[in-house]
Amino acid sequence: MKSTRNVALTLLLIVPAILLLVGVLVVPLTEIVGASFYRANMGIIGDEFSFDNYRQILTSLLYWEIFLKTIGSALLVTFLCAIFGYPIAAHLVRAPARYQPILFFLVAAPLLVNTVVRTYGWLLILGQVGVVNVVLRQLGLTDGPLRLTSNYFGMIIGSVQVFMPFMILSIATSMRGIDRHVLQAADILGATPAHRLRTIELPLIAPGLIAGAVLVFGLMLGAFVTPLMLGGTAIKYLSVSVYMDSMVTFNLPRAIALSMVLLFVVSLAYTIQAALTKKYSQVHA
Amino acid sequence: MSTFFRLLFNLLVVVIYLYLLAPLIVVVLFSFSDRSFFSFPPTGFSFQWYVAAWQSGAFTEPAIRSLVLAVVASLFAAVLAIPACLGLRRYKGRRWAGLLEFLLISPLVVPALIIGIALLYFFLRLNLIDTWIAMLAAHTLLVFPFMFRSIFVSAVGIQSQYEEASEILGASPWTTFRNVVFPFLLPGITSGAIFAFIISFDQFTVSLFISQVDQITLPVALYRYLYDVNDPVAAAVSSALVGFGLILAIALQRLGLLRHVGGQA
Repeated sequence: MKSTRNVALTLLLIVPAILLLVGVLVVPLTEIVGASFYRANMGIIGDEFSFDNYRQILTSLLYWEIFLKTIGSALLVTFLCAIFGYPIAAHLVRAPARYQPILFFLVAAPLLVNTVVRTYGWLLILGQVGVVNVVLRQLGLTDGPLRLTSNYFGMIIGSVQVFMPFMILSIATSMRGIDRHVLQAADILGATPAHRLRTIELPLIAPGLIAGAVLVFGLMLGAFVTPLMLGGTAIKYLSVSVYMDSMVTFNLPRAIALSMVLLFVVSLAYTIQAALTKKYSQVHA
Repeated sequence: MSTFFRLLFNLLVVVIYLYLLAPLIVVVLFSFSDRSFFSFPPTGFSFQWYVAAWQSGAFTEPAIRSLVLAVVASLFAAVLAIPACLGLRRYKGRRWAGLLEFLLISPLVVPALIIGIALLYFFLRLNLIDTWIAMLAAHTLLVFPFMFRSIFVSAVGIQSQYEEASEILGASPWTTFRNVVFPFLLPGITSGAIFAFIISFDQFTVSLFISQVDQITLPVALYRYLYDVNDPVAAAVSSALVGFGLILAIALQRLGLLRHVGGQA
């Protein structure tokens, strides 16, 4: 008797939250998945069931170019975040205890500044009369302004800055867990720094590195502000195409079909992460 | 040799820190410029763009809307998350509870762009595009996982002896909740509220999709202004946001919550 009442009470407590999630997320997502199977005509969604949107997307070379360039850019951003985030994480973890809060602050604080603002900063730095071009001209290295935005270069530079803090914090978390004596042992036994990094440090920070990489990769695939503002329509990026299709050319079904592809790739990344994390936690258990 | 490498390493670290902070520094420098176009190195010093930003009226209303939206959405999320946590806490580890937990944090997993498209389509059909109720529903959804996760940790930690003692001593369920359970939840609610506020206030993508004119938030207003005018007024507004972000970061560090910022997204 009491247990049925407990179950009823539990349900009563949880149902309002479930209603929010179902009403504002599950239903809208289900609806767009459904809508992606209908053809659009002049911005109006037709009533004939078809795979046309997916067929168009999956058979057109243009879209494959978009997919490959999007995944390639996201991989490059992830790689650069890891390469340049690693020294910062190492420096942060080894710094004297009294400097750590300020260093930590410098890494994390940019995350609390809106991405639109940070990307605007990059527009000022990389623009035609921006900081980089002015300095290059005054040094006599260039004749005319270099084109540094509205292309992949600007998009990658900006995106790495936007996402690197996630990578640094993720690597630093697993670095903190390393027993310093293990590293000292490697030094005493005569390992070179490179050898020590490869055989001891990297395996130990792998969980943080993988978690950070998947986080950055997933965020970058879904990222939209920085690719739109620094790359624009000059670059082939999935999220920008989704935005153009839905808000500019009003082909909502195609935009939805495209975003389904995006959702698929992001879910795939998380699945791989779950598998890798499991593998590494088993190795160290 | 070793000292040479150490020096090189420290130089690299300084360069990367500069890279991380460069866009914020440049925006703040530009906002005090006395010219309407960007020049480097900066010349002059004036507050005219801050005055212009205030007087233009293009930003005050969106700014107030963003603040109100962040507060109300966090409040709604808390009201929904507290009972959900209390209902689920005794079933942690059960399969169905795990699935429900996943459902409740799922707005974190789906990219904002896809939530934006889904809500655009959904609210278009309901004729709710560019309405306050749609903005509030979307923001409540987006901040809910942060509230839930934070409160759930506190809720799972409550020992049932305290509640039993309260019941045996004759307290009503409401009194038990108010005097025994709620104080345990308070730290979780506080940190959840802070993160919920930040997530809502910074939200750009979903807001851009479901607002047009009447209901634009501060980040959307800034984005639109950048494309329409692009003078230092945008830099002044951006600098205000940089200042706001830094104050938040300092507050979070004081509260020991800054390390959780990297775990968001």
